[in-house]
Amino acid sequence: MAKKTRQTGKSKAKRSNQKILNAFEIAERQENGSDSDGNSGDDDYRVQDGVLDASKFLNNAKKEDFSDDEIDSDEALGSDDDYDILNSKFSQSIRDKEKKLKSRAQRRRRGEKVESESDESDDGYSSIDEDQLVGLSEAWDMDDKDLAKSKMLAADKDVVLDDAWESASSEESESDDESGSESESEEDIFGDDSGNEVDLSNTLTHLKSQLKMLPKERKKLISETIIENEFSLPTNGNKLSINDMISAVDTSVSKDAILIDNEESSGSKALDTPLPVNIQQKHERRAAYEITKEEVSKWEDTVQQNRQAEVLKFPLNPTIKHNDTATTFRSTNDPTTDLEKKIHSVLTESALTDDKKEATFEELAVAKMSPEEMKERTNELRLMRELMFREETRARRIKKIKSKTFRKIKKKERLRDQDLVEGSDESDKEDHDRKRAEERMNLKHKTQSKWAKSLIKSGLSKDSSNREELEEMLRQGERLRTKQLGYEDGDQSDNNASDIERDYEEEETISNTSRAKLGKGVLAMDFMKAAEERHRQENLQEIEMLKKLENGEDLQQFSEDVNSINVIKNQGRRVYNPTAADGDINAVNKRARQEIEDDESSNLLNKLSKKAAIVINKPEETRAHETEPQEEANPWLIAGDTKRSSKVRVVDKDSSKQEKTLNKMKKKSVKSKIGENLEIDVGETLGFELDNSDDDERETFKQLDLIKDAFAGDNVVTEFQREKKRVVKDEDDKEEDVSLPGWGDWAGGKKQKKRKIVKKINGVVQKDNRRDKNMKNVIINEKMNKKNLKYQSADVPYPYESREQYERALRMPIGQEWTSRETHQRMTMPRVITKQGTVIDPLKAPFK
Amino acid sequence: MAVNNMGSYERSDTSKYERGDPKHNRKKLYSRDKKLNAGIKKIDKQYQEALRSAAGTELLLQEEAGFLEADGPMEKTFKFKQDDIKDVVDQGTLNKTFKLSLAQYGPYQMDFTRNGKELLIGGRKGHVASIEWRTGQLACELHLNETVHAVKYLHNDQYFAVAQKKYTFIYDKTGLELHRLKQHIEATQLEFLPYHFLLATAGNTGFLKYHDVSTGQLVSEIRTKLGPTQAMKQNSWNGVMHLGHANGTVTLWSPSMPTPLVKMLCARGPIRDLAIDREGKYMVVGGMDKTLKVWDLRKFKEIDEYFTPTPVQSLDVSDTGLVSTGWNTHVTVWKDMFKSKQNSPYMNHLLPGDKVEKLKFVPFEDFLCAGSGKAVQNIIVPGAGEANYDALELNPFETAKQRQQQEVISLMNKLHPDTITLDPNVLGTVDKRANSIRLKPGEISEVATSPDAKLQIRPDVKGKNSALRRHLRKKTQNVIDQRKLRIERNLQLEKESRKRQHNDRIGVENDSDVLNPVLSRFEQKR
Repeated sequence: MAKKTRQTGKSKAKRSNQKILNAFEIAERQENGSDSDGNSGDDDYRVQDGVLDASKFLNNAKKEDFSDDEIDSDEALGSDDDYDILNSKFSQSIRDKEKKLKSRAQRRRRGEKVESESDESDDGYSSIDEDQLVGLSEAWDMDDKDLAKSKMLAADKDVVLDDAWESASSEESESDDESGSESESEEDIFGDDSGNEVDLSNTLTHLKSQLKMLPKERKKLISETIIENEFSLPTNGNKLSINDMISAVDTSVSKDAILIDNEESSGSKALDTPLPVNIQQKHERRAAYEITKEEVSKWEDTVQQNRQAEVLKFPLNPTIKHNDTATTFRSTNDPTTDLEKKIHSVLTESALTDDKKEATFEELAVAKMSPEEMKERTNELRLMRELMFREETRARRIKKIKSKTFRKIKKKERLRDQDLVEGSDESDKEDHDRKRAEERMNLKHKTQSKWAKSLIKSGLSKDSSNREELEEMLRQGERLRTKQLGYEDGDQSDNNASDIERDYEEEETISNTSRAKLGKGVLAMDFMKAAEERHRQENLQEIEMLKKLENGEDLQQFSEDVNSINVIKNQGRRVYNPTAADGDINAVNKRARQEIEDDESSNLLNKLSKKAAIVINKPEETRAHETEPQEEANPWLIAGDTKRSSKVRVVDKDSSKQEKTLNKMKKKSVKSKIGENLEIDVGETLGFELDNSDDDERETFKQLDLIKDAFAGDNVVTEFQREKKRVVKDEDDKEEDVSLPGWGDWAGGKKQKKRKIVKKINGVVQKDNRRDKNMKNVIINEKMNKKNLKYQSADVPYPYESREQYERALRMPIGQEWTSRETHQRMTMPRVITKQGTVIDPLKAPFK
Repeated sequence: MAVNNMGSYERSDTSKYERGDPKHNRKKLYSRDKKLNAGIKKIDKQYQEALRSAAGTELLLQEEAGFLEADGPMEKTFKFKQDDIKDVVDQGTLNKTFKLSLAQYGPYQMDFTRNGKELLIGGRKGHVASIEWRTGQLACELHLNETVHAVKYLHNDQYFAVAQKKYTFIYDKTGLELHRLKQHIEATQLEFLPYHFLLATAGNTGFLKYHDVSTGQLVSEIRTKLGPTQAMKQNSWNGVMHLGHANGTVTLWSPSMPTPLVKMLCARGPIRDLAIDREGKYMVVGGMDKTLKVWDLRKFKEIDEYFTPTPVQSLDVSDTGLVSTGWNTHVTVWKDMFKSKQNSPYMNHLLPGDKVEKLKFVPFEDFLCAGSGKAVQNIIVPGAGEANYDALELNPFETAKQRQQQEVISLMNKLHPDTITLDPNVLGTVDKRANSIRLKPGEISEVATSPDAKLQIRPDVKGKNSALRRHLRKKTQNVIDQRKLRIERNLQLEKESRKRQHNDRIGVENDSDVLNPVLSRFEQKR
């Protein structure tokens, strides 16, 4: 009851702002059931909340009132209506249960109310409020077991509530009175502050409306069978297919929608599961690394270069500043001085300074051609170029042929041509001089020179130094001659004539066919063709000749009739004096033949041997007695050492094995002779006044013996040998018996084998490894000089891997006492040199 | 970098300047390590450039040494008299010839400064004089009234040492006595190692003593044990001292070794004198047995042997390899003696009525200075002097300033006495005994941990068969008598003690209740 009163009171309070409304209106409204009435039953806590909030605006007295109300409501619940039923039928627990149930029912009803607000009548609503307890208890009585059917119950309850409506209203009337009084009192209380009241009511309604919404949400049962997903739709468990969605859309649109794939095509294909995050990151990192690597590798060359550089001078690329002096020529376009201006003006007047640029493309003749024409033309040109190139290469190959005979012939031919051409008019003096010089040069390194001739003639070539010089000269000559022939040592390719010829034939077919297509042009002109033909003929001829030479019929050509050859050459020239030319050609031929013959025997060895033979012949006659005296042992008469004079043949790398061995044997024999001499030769004494007579010899013999006798007693030699033996023994490895004396020995007659403990002591050096092992009168100390060790490395230092490497790196001293100044400075140059006062920029990014 | 440097040209004759062992194993020279290989190649390139550059400096050697040449086979160079030569030589050379007649205090020893500018003479009877011989200026003259055995300039003309009757003294240029080297007693031979600043003395005591003249410390004194030293010369290539002894041996010494580096038997009689060429390759030894031997010092092999009519008194080798021998009244100069056996001398000179005491080639001059009983004189020997001198090393025309600077430089570059070895090239190289390949870190530890298994002495291990066991074994099992019981007990004790010992060895604590031997006797016997 109290609850109801409070509710009504509250509703009154809500409308207290509408002071104009009379009590009837209020009653009427109560009867009709305001929207706020529906809340009344369930709202004990909510009201409280509302009050709590509102307490900000109200004073304490009001609060007390409200709290009183609350207590009242509790009491009412416990005692008034339900008392009998509850006490008689149910225990406390049941009551509790019921309480819960009640609250649930209330909630449910509220939901009902929300649903049925629109259609249900106001009265019914208020009555529901009124009869809720009764109806519930009755419902409990009727069907107290099944809680699950509460919904249905609620539907039944409505009916029941309708039945009990009368009584409830009567009760309400009573309470209305009370509440009316109460509300009046309340109004009195609130009366003094109307504004506050307005606010409060507002807030209350506001709060109510808000709070009404919240528990609704909370109550919602969410039963989700689908996996939670961003894209899952709230379909209440029903499957939502794409078709459902499409059906909503216009069909014509859906057909065109590309993003919607047809079910048939997509099938039941699921998307791949994404990779785990760490693996994804790994991939990303890898990709990033690749990119960075690429970026960094741009620097590689620069860094490498700088690392390998012997010296780095910073700034790396200094800008070169030229000190422009006053005299430095500067080309300026505009004239500055008066004279220049004057000249310039004159030039411009006379239109000599033509500023026209190079012809533009439009001005070229090509521009007027049609593209087809142009194409043809370029093809033509290309072909011609190709042909010319081939001719050139062929000529080069011919040039490279190293057959000397061929060369000779070629040269001869050329000379002949020249003679024919220029023999008549000797006006070309310069050329003549040049030829002369060439001739002289050719002769220079042969034995025909004056010096060489004199050398050979005088027999000085026997002397080793002279001889060396001579040989060197010849060698030089050989080298020069090869150089003259136009190739260096390395690139003497051995092309055969046949090879070239084959090449030629092959090409001929091509050129013929192409030529036909050529049409007209400069290259198609008659004279060009003729020239080319001539050139070809020449080449072919050379090949012919070469072939002949290869077959061995070389020299015949030179003995041939002169004129026959001559006619073919120089077709365009007329020969005025064939007889003179003949003579010349004969001479040339002769020379060529001579040279060919020479060349055949032109090995250095052959030459040398030839010369040597000459050398041998002369002096052996004149100084036959001088080659001998070595054995005669009369050294005082001969100052010069004649030992070498007998060795005429020079033995060098080129000479054959036989020669070498022969030479060796000779040497040996000479040595042995000398060795024999040593023992008896008196002349080796330092005194040279001694005559060489036999008596004196004997005398010196005697003296030597005497000396030997005199020092015989000293026996220095034996002492020395003994000492050496001792040293060798001392420094050798030793074995020491470290077993204690007496231990392990038996005193008895039966000798047992003693157990020896032998320790090997490493000596300085083993007997066989001594340096002085084979030295007769020498003892070399092999002890380690410990004081020297501090100047040695204990092991191979770091970057080097072996002793050899290290010592090789050490071998060149860097001090300026031992090397040239240049070497010293280079080797001691700091690795990095910075120029003072300049800004050193960081390495610039390479051009990539 | 200069583009046109001397090292960038190919040159034909660089072999002369090559260093190190040319026949290295190429396989060992290059490695698989790319970086190292590049480094080695770079060094090789530098080396080649240095060689070419060095060969290029030959251009600067403008002077040539000329020798006497005979016209035709009948003329002999040794027949040229000094007078003949004097007739044809230029005035400059003539001016440098001199003869000091010093009959009173002879015979004379002498010495030149290293650059040949100053001459120091020392008469046996106490006459010492320092002369700038080209100009004839006398720097100082001393009359010591004491026997003078040898005279020697130190690093320059400012100081000289004189080996007198008992002690060796050091005088300065003015003749002021600076030091009396009391450790050097009865020295008869003096040598000075200019790069080490060592004064070496040897004499009648048979000791070889090295004295550092820059610090004043006696570096080492070595007992030769070979009696009085007859001759002493230095090998200028490696600084090794060559001593000639009375038993015909020549010994080679370094201050860091108490024993001779090499001992050679060069003559049957006492050694009279010896001389070593500038490059340290050859040695000439003259003995009392009238022999003159040429030794190759690289192989320690006797090359040639000559006989002298009388024992050689003095020997010297010039910069160009001429060997001068002084015997009796004769001075004979030999050419190409190291190349081949000579049949006749290059030059000859006679000192009539006098006896040669000391011969010395004048540095950088074509002169031979001969000290004799009554005179000191210069003999012209064409081709004796080094024609191209390095003025930064030794400058014959040195000014006072240059001398001072040179002194400072040489003091700063002074070598330690321990660097004197037979082969100076070993300095800086890897120790001969060391591993010739660099070990990798793993290998090093392997080498370090592996003990020399062979050298370990293993103890005798006693047999398990003791007498007690034997007795137990012998006795029949079932008989139990007093002795058996005792034996068993003893064995038990033995076992326990062994166990205890073993525990001790491996470090396990023995039971603490075990009583010490003193108290164990009171233990209840089982």
